Amino acid sequence: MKEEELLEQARRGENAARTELVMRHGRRLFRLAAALLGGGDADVNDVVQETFLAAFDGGLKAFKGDASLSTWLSGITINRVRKLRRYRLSRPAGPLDGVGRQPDGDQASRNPATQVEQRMDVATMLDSLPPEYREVIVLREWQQMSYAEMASALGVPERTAETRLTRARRMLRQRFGGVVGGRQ
Amino acid sequence: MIDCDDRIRLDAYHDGELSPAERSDLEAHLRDCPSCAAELAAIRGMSGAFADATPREPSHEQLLELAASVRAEPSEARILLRLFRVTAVAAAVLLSSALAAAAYLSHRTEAAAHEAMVLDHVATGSQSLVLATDRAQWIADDLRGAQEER
Repeated sequence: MKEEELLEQARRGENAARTELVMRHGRRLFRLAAALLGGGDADVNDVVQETFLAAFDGGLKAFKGDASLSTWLSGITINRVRKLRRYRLSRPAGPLDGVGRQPDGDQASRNPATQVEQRMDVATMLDSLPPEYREVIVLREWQQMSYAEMASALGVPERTAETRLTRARRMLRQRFGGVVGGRQ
Repeated sequence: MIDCDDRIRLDAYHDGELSPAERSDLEAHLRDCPSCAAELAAIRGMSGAFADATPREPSHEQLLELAASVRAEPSEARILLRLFRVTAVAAAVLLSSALAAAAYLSHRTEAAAHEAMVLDHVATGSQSLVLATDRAQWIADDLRGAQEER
């Protein structure tokens, strides 16, 4: 079934359509939220849940098909993460876990030590970036979005998305070039 | 030949975002510019580090829990909710109509009172006119009677 039809059904409250959309997009949005937040499961789950609820409870009216549903949902997730980050900043500082610091069963079992070590390196790198640079790195490197999709999800011009990505990568190379620079 | 000031497009090249012509120009430049070639290698290295460390995945159970948490309310509740909404709208319409009718009737009552007052004035005036006419008639009759007595 086409995604637009599923959306319409989900908006009308048909739970089969809602479940189908969650199963199609939930995994990717979960990864996105985890990478952007670097937070615990509760925060990640909350953000993804809020994303779908916002989409199903009225936000779907705002979906005009200019971007793919996937990109549109990513944009909602990004906005929810920003909101949560602002909320965290307004409160006394608490520890922010790095992204993926808890090893996932399947992937860790392939090469547990290397996987965890690499994730911690990447988590450290991401934590060192300002939020807007972290966003473009995550969208490009882990969500494999094109520049146009990044721009749409972030609500910025395409050139801005590209510039942010270039600066973010440059910043990472300057700070961690010795760690990952040897790879070709 | 591309100037090294254009290195910003190295990322676009790496991400496959350049047109064929731009790509061709940049590749020609890379052959002659070790600095840009090294930077491109560093960009690739950084991307590789991320590719090797993908974020953790949600479990299937987590996805099912997520799906359950965004389900719509039960159909009975939805029917009740719709019924409530329809009732609320109908009540609002009725209330508006009642208020409009009351305002109209109030206006009509005031108009009627005003009309009655005007009619009363007219009636009073007519009565005075009749009295005056009668009085004139009596005077005329008196005068006529006096003339006849003479």
